[in-house]
Amino acid sequence: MTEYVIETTDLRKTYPGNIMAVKGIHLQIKQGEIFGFLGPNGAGKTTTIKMLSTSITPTSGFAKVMGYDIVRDSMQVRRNIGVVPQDLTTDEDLKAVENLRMVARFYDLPNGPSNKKIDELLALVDLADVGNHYVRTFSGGMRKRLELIMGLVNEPKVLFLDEPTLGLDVQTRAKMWDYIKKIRSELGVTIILTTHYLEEADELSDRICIIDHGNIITIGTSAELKASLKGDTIIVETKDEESLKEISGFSESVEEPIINGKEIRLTVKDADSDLPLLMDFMIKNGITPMKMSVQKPSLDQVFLKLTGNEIREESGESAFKQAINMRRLRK
Amino acid sequence: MKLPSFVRLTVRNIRVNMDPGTMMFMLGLPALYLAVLGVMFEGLITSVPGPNGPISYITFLAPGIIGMQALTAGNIGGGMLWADRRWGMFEQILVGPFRRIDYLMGIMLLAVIFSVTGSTIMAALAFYTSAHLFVTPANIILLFITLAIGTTFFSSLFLIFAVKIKSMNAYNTITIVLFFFLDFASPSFYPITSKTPVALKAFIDINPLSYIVYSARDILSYNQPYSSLGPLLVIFIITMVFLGLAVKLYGNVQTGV
Repeated sequence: MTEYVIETTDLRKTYPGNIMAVKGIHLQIKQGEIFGFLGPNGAGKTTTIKMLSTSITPTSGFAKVMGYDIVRDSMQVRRNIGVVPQDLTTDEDLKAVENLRMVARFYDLPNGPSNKKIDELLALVDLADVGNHYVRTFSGGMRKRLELIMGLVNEPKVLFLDEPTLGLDVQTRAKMWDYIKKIRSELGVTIILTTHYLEEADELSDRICIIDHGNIITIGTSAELKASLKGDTIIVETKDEESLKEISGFSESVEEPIINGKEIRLTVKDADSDLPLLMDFMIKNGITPMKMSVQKPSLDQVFLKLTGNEIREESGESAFKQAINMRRLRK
Repeated sequence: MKLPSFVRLTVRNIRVNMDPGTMMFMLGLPALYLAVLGVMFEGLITSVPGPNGPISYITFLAPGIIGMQALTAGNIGGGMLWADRRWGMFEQILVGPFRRIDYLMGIMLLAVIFSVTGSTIMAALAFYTSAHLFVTPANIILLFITLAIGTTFFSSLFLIFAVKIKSMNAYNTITIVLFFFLDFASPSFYPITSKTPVALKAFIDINPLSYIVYSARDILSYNQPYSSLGPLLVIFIITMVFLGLAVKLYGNVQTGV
């Protein structure tokens, strides 16, 4: 087997009505990676995940998971993967351990080893004390943690997490991130993550894939994606617009200054070294700033730049309809 | 020992349906029908005419309640698909080590197991309430076949609803109304006589539950197993049609509702 646990070549999915959800994806994901899929609603990320987890069949193209073809060897793929869906699928009328044992029986795992595994998994997400409690007594965060380990009972090599922290409060979300990192570090599982939360992708993913309109827009580490924005932004507000024009030429390193009213946005390579130069320039030229701030590149900016939020908002209704249609078709 | 995939799913289906609500629906309600209606009407209806002479009302009622187990269990089986689709479990199962056909067989087998188990309990309760039932090895086998076919029919019917109906309210409303009509517009509780209203009689004639009850009654109350073959053939033919349709629709069903 190659070093990649997931490889796809020109993977496509077209739904009835000639709706092209995924338009030819090429991916290579390494063993032990946390790989994040980011994209707006209806971008094609969930369809991609569903194809890779054998839930739906691709229209064309090719993909292997753990060396097995997702179409021809789908049962082998399924034995090597775990899927944690957005929905809460645990049975409320069963205890946590009973839910986990049920999954163990799905895979025909022997009682002894699977019970030991279940104890370990409960301990991994700090649910050992409530393993014998009914799921209906669990909080939302506890149920999410249980869902997380439900996908690990069969000791998968690849774990698909679909919006693992959707609807959780900030504290619980942060805790979930710790658990996900722990799963990777302690179990060596490759994790494929889809999320709407940019900070989640930033925090967890070794590499991030931004997908939109069924195409991969970019793939890279968080740092690489941020670096693609070509530097930091210095924002200066002055009393008059004339001063802004002077400021725009303070250094040759400034790229594409944008003046908006009494505010100027200067893109510079490194604000830490350029800011003192700008201050010095303004003092020498008698320019008094009303406000000054520095904006470091964020994944939000990368995302908006690549997926074109402005255009999406203008055609908000059609984008929303498209997202709803995609969701309906995926099901 | 490695269990076949569909058996593992059946075990799961049994486990998740052992909740008090389902048990009450499957066993409690028919037991109440048998005990309360049986005892209450026994005082009003002293006997019901039969091919071998009059029988007691409780002896008449017991096969009706047993036949209804096919409807109840079929509803539980078919309803599982709807619930599993609604709560995301269907998709979870299909990304596990199962084929679609395993899931289908799992719910069909669950329904038959529930139907046979429920019928056995109802028969025992009927004995306890002084019903006179003809329990012979041949009758048991024939009744099992009747129940298995009848349950497969109702599982197929509810499976079709589970595939086609999108909203929980619509699904619940349709199944509750259907349950009421199928149960009460059937010969389960009362004999069909010349005094039965024509419209009701027409509905009873097209009600598949009627044929299951006729067959069960021929076997258990009248000890006329050969007479049961006629209604059994009717329900078999209907079952084949509905099973075929259900399998076809199920093959293309989306994982979510």
